[in-house]
Order: sequence, then structure tokens, then C-alpha cells
Amino acid sequence: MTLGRRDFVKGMQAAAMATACAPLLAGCRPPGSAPPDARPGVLPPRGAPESWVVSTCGACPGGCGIRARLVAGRLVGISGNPLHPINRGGLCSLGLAGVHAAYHPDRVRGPLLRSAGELRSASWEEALALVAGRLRDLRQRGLSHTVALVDGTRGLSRQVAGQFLAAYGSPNHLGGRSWNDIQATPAVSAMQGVDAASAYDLENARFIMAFGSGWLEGAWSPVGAARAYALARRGRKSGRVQVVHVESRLSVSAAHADEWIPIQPGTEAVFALGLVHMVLREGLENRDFIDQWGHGFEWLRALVLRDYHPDAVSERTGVPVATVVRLARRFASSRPAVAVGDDWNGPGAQPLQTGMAIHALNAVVGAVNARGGVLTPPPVPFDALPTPPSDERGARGRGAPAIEGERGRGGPAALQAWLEGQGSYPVNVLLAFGSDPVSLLGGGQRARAALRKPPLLVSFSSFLDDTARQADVVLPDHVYLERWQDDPTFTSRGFPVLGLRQPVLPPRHDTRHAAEVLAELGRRSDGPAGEAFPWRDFREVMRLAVRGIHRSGRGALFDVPEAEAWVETMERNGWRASRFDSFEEFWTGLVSRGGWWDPVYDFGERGRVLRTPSGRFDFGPLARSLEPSAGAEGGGSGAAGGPAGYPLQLHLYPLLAAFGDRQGPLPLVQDVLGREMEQSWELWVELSPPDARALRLGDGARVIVESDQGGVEARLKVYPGVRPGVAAMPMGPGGAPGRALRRALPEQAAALAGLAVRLPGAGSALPGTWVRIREA
Amino acid sequence: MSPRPTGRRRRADLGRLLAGLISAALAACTAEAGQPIAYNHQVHVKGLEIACEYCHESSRHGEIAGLPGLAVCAGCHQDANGTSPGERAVVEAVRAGKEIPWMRIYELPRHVYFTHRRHVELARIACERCHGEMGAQSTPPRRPLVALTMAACLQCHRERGASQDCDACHR
Amino acid sequence: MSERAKGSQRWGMVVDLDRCTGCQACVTACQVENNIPPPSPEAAARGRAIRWMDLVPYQEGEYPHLKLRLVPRPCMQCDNPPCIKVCPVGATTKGEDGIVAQIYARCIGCRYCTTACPYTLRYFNWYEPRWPGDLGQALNPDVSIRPKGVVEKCTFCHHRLQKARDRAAAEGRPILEGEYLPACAEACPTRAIAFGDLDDPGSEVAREARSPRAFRLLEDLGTEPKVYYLREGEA
Repeated sequence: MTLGRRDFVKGMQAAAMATACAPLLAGCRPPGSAPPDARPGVLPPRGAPESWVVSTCGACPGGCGIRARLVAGRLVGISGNPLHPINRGGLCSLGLAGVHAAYHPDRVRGPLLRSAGELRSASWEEALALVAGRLRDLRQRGLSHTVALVDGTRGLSRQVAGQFLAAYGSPNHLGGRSWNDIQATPAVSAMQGVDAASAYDLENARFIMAFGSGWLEGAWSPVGAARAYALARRGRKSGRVQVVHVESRLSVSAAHADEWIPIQPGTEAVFALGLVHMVLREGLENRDFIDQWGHGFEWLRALVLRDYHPDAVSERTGVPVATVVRLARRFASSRPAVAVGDDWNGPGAQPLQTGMAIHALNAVVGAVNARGGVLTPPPVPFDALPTPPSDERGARGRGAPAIEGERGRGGPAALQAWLEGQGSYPVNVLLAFGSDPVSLLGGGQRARAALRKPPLLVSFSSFLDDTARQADVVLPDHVYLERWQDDPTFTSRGFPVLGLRQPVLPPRHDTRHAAEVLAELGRRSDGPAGEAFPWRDFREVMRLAVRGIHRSGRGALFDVPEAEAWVETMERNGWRASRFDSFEEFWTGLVSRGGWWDPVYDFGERGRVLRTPSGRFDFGPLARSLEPSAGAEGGGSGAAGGPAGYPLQLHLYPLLAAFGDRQGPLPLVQDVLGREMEQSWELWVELSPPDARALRLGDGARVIVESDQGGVEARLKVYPGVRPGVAAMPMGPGGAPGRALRRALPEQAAALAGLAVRLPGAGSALPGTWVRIREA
Repeated sequence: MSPRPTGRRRRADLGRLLAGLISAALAACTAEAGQPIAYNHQVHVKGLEIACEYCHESSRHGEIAGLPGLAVCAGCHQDANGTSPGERAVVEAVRAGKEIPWMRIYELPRHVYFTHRRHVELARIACERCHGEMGAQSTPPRRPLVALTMAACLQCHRERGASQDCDACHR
Repeated sequence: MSERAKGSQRWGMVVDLDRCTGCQACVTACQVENNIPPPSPEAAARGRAIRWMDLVPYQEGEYPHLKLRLVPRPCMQCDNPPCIKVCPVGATTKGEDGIVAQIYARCIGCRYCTTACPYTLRYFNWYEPRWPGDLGQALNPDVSIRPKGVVEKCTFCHHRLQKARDRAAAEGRPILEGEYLPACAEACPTRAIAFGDLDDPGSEVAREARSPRAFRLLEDLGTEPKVYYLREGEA
């Protein structure tokens, strides 16, 4: 890379201009220099006592280990826990800015109740009595199934929520997939019969074919993904990995690839199948995997060889024939190669089909459950919490039709549709547990209206997020820095990890642990839900479940990287004995080191990763969706064009610095959003130079971006890295505008799409959001 | 960048002058503090030969020297050893378990980095060098006996060959 | 202090762009560590936000062969810094271990240095430092709060060097490699930022600075930056 002085000066222009003009402006009082409630800072006294607490970050689903620095009881710094295998001492912008989470001015300081249209402060007793009273009443009237809980948590909090609903009597534990957490990959569920998230073993891959912007910016663990990327690039003896990125915008991920394929959005499945076509036609497929573990392969083979000739693929995707052929050969011959994007949530009429097409590309080269391929991490071996008692009312309630359908397949869209009147019964109470359903549904008018339907909307949020703002009751949770919690995750190599979260600060406001509050509601509601929670606090729940890990004798407490090989050797040789005499010793180690992991992936566990009826990898579901009889949308066209008057396809992309944010709007995170596009503190929309010229709009113009869902104001960024015909907008962290801190929000863009778009792995808007742009 | 007509030395002199003025202003502004109890350093230090760090516990290893907590006083003053009104007050505080709110009279600006460890433990600088003859004081001084000026810091640093880099001490 | 061999270290940084993902953890780490008040939207819009470490994008080429490079950029800590030559009050100096320091108490806010820096990496405090609500509780006690009207810049977190020096001196040994890291290098998830003594030929930074991939920004100006970059790609 050569940066000439000219380029550099060009890059500096904005900053230099401000500096050069500075003396002229001296003396002018700048308007609105700080938010109205801003105060001067006061440092803690000199020589004040200092301490460090090991815990787990909770700013996003990534689950990095942290060390919190406390001086005079104040949290003054967060750094990465060097022993934690996900982040090894590194931390992202969100995690570092987390020092502000506890002190945030927009925190909910105590329970809130709505009266006469306004939220007012209430006591815990008053708020709990109101919700518990409603729950008791509904149950006695045989309507317990009309209570739904939207769950944004994982691990034991999710289990406690499940117990609550089971004992109380409701089938509606929503958020089975596609909410704001690590999600099961639908394509893997369909083709492997396993409801689990995918791990991509990038560290060991020689060639990465990435679809959509998910792999760096939209990974559920941004730090884990970044570390895997860096290791694959520069951290190994076997040479530098090669990366090809397929997306209609030159995203941060695309910018880090060796080759960028600016594809027609919505045709990613066609492109993937075009590669499969070439692999099969040239006989480059992995016969061992297909013969031993494949099912329905011949069906898919026939369809793909018939319909996905490179000429046809090129015409639909806009990718040259030579590129399709070259990349297919490259993908099949560089072993191990892996295609990333099987958790597709981007453009195209059928996201599942796109995910399956990408997953099939992995399967034909044998990159499924193989070193350097797509892995299915095993779960953390928790002890199951005791089964809650059941009574007849509960059983009846649980038997009612579920809002999200079987195994929660419907996702957020199903809840929205149900609330809009398509369900078979009304929802009487909606509990937003560790989640913000309004913003997850796009935050727009439609989402707000849908969530106004339940007569009692209860939020457990620590911040006044979109849902809390319209809730009838807010029962505020601690922030992650104030609570006990388990954080089960996995590494990119598929190793299960349990991060332990312990309070680094005492609760700053009148808040309570949400799982403990849920248990309390259970105890107060009629029926056996009270008996389901024999524990005092959540720490006790954790100690119950963690016994299973201790007993399994597997894995090890977090340690320096060198210890990893040692543990692996031990386990390979059949050592399963815990190195801790007592559970107390294990627990103490868990708390002081930050957690446990098992640095071994057993590639031989076919039974665990292939649970289809045939016990094999099933190409059938993909083949079925490609049959012409599957409908006009078969074959993943999706580039057909939008409604009249909306000429641009909207591409919503995640912002690397803020993806998966669960906190309120942290000002330091706001400050870094959009720097890669030279934007800050303002929503922007990107257009290619020809599209901008056609609209006679220049860089920096204020514009209105409109879809049939509504419009938002944004600043125009003319970016040659956007495919013509596409309007690209960032989607931001969840949560509503802060009172004092936030102005223009990237996530306003999500409202345009009108449907759940702020999801991990989401490359862009769900099917067919088309927009038009005009001058503001 | 063309060098400016002003020579380096002259600029540095100007800087020093300015810094001197600021230090002087700071010294003048140091609040006069009245201690809650008329502590007699002379009796303890000269009379009983108690070392400074016995009461200022972190003076050798800490950032700040520290003011004694009640436990330190309680070590000797469970009962009155003498007749002074000051000691009576200490004994009362010990019996009541009430910390004595000693006032700090030495306060460095926050943009100065300073640790006692570096100066006392490693460089073996006598306490008197910066704090004066505290051991000879029979009543608590109301202001520092030796003004903490940057000039004084620099003079000592120069004499001892210690760093004179701005950022060795400023932050 | 006397026990330290003078001029024995020359602190420098090497940013490996082949590891960097542009995540900006370094930017936030710096702002938290160094008590930089969050800018208001208005301040940011006027180019008055303070980011000692910033992410700078460079676009090269034409669609569809466009390249986007994201370069994290701290103070270059020049060995021949143009900024200190123009300071009329000696408020900015280069220390014996090469760090270009800014002494806030001396700065008169004339901003000659902000103009002299060819990298525009010096920042003027246009506003009183203020923190919304209780966010000021999270201030780092090791770094002073700068008043309105003075210039500030990246210091390589030299308050961490002060502590590391003390620790090493107390134990009667030199500062170990990795013992003193600026907040950005410590936070970097991909270990793209190496930091250490450029004069120690065995150190990671010295080895990487000799790499054929190494380059510095605006090298032809003769500023002799102590921040190196490693370009992406093979070799």
C-alpha cells in the first residue's frame, strides 16, 4: 500500500479545514457544546484503593472475558481477560465503552407503572403485585396460554424463563431463534436436523468464500471473528488464507477480502448453486463425504446441473462467467475451503434457501463437520434444572397452539403477524425478557402498533428502550456489570465455552435481577409455578447447573494459551478426571479465572451433528425448494424489481463497532459509528456515483429515503463501493434514542424495512425492501 | 516547517517563567487547614523517636504517604498516657470508634504524577527534603513548611541527575 | 531517575493492516483511558471531536475494482516533530525516550502546533470538558482532565510508562517487553498493534519495522515517525 502525500492530504481534508479555520472562530461561543445535564468530571482522590474484578462482558452476545478496574469504588476501566479463549485479552469498542453502561443517564432507576398515559415511579411491591395479580387472574380463567414471553437471554436465564412458562402454563416462549442472540442456523436445522448455531473454523481454512457482510461486522462475536480472521491471515505457518467476498456493497468485510464480487442483491443463492454446478460438472466434489454421509444428493445434482449453468448464473447475478468458473475451481481445490453465510438473513425471496445453497456448497466439498469447515459446537454440559411441577391448568395452557409455531420456526415475523390479528387468540400479557421486541421488529410504526395490542406489556429492560417506552410496567434489570449470570458460547473452532459473569459494581439504582423477578412473579401467581423456584438467587441457580460441568471432568478452567494443547492431549488420551477435589474448589476457580471451556472438537460425533431422519446430511430440502413446482420464487431470483416508484433496492448492513449492542446508546460508541464512511453522529445513505448523478444529488446532500413503510431523513454519501441500483444504509444497535445522548440513529434505517432486520448474521433487509430517494 | 525566529532557549526560558508563576500561584492558593486535633509531631518524632512511616503508613511504598487511621492511634492511645487536651480528644475518638478527620495540607495538582515509593524507597530522599522539619513542630502547621514548587522539584532532579523530561512527571 | 539508563528506549508502534479489521476498539480504548469527553453531535459535525486515535478510510480505484483501506492513526510520535518547533511556550517537547509530550499547564492554546502537524493529529479543546449524567464517574484517575483552551494529543499513554518505570525500578530491573502498552495496543482484538522499544533489535516492533511490508505515513517529509504500518498481502 502506498499512500502518497496527495492521497493523504485528501483524506485529511475535513480535519485540516476545521483546524485551519479554527483561529477565525476563536471567541465565538459554540452552540450546544454539551448535553444539558453534562457535568464537569471529578477524578477519584489520589492514591485511592484500586482493585480488579474478573467477569464477562454483556454488551453484545459475544461473551468476551473482561477485567474491571475499580478505584475508590468507581468503575474506571474495562480490559479484556487475557485468559478467556474467545478474546484473549482483546476487547471491542462496545465492551470498552461499557464503563459507561452502569453510569448511563438513561437507565431506568426503579420500577415504572403507566398511569394516565405516563410512566411513573412505583415501588417493587406495587409493580410486582400488579403483574402477578394479572397473571393469577388469567390462569384462573384458563387463559394462561395468552401470556407470552419474548426471550433475549440465553443459558440459565432462558431455562428459568422456560420453567416459569412451563409451570405457569403457556407454550409461548418466544425467541426460539432469530432474536438478539446467538441463533440456531436454519439451514443447518433443515439439512442436519440440529438446532444449533454454526462455528466457522476460519483459523484452519485455506480459502474463505464469504456471502454477505456477516462474517466480520455481523458476527455474533465480533472479537471472536476478528481474532479468527487475523490468525488465518498472519498467525499460522501454513500460509495466508485467501478470502473472496460476495456482497452488493464494498463493506468492511469485503474490504478485507482479496477479491470482492459485487453481486446483484438477492441472487446469492443462484451464485452459490452456480459454484456447486461447476464443482459437480468438473467432478471436483468430495465423494467420500457425499457417499458416506449424503442423502438426496442425486436429486439436487440433477436440478443443479440442469438449471445452474454458468451462463444462466452470470446473467442473473451479474458475475462474469469466467469468475464463476474460476472461483468454483479454486473453492473445490483449496482444501479446506469454507463458505460463510449459511445463516443467511439477507436479501432474496427465500433466506432459508440461500442459506441452504451456501451450506450445500460446503457439503459438496466436504467442509461440514470437518477441520477448516462449518462446525456444530456441542453444548456446555450443564446439569438440567429440576423439572417444574405441573398441574392440569398448566398442562392445558401448554397445549394451546404456539405463536411462533413448531420449535419457534416462525421467529419475530410470526409474533408480529399474530399480534396484528392473524393468531387464533389474543395475547393478554407480553413479557419482554432481556429483549426489545419493538426495535427487533424494526422499530417502525407497524412494530409499535403491533406491540400496543397486548393489554399488559411488561419490560425488564435496564434502559428506556423502544419497548420500555410503550410498556405498561417496567421492572428494571441490573446492567450486566451488576449481576450474576452464565454466558455459554463457543469459539470459532467449535469449542464450548462457559463465561462466568459476576457483579463488578453493586446495583446503582433500585433494580433487580430479571430472572429473580420472574421467579418471584411465578411464586406469586397461582399454581405450581411457585414451587418451580426453590432457590434464593440466581447465583444459586448457577451453582446448581455448573455441578454438571464439574462432574463431567471435561475441559479446563480458562488458562494461558499454552495450557490449551495440554488439556487437548489429556482428553485425546481419555483423561476425563476433574483436577479439582471439591466442587467448591472448582467454583472458586471458575469465578477467579472467568470461566471454563473444553478445547477439543470431536469430529467423530456424527450422531450429534446429523440428526435427520436418515441420519445423514440431507440435500433434499434444498432440492425441494429448487423444484419449479416450489413456486415462482424457486431458484432464489429476488432481483425482479420493486413496487412501482421505488427504483432502489435497500441494503441494510451491520456496523462493525456496534453490532449486537444490548446497552443503551453509549456516547463513545456513537462517536465511532460510521468513521469508515467518514460519517459521524448522523444517519446516512450510500448511493453509487451514477445513481447519485441521475438524481442530481451530491455528496453530503440531505435526503429523504422512503419505502412503502415510511421515510427517514439521512445524509447522502456517494460511495463507489455500492452496486448501482442499490441504496445502502447502516443498521445500528438496538434501543431507542437516548434522552440526552443520541440524535440521528442508524437504526432508523431499519424501520424502512418494517420487519426484523436487526439480527445477528443479518446482511441486509429481509425480502424486497425497495426505496426511493429525494432531496429533503 | 521553517524554524521560527525565536530561539529554542528563549522559548524555554519563557516557559519556565510561566511555569514558575503558575507554581507560585498554586502555592498561594493552597488552603490553610486547621486540624481537628492539635497533633504534636515533636513529642512523637523527637521525643518518642517514632518513624514517620509508623503513622504515614504508605510513605515508602505507596503513591501517597497517607494519613493515619484510628487503628494507628489506638495502638498507643487506648488510655491516656499524659494530660494534654489533644491526647484526651484522641482517646475519646478511639473509645467512640470514630475516625479523626485529619486534613491534608499537601496536595499536588492532578496533572502531576508523583509517587512516594519512587522518592522515599528507591531514591532514599529524606522526608524533610520536601516536608521540612515536621518532627520539630509542636502544633500542626497550617500550610506546608516547604512550598511544593516545580522549581524545587527540578532543582532536586537536576542535582541528582534524575529525569527532567516534562512527561516524566506531568500527565 | 538516576537508576534508569538514559535514552535506552525509543518507544514505537507497528500497526499490521493485514490483521486489523477496522473495528475501532483502539479508538474507544483510547477515549476511555484518556478521559476524552464524548463529543456532542454538533461538535462532531464541526470537526471538533477529539480522537487521539482515529480510523481513517482511504479509497483507491474504480468500481468494481475499488479498494477500501481502513487505517488506525495515532500520533506518529515523530523523531523530528514539526509541532514542537513552533510552540512559543515550550509546552510540547520530545522526551528522552522519544515520546512527544504535551504539557497542558503550559499550553496557551495558540494552536500553532495543530497547524504545523502534517498529520493533523493534534486537537484543540473547544469546550469545557463535561460528561453527561454520571458518566464522569468512570474517569481514569491516572490521566488529568484537560481544560478548555489547550491542545492535546496522543501520548502513547505515557502515564502507563510512568507506572511501568516505577514498577521496574522498584524491582531493580529494566522494563520488560509488553509491560508497557498503550490502551489501544492492549485492547486490539487481533493483536494488530505491536508496541515496544524500536532500539531493542530483538523486540517485536523492531523486527516488524524492518519487514518488507513496513511503511510510514508521509515518509518524504522527514518527520521520522515512530509509528510504522505493515501493508496487507503476501511477504
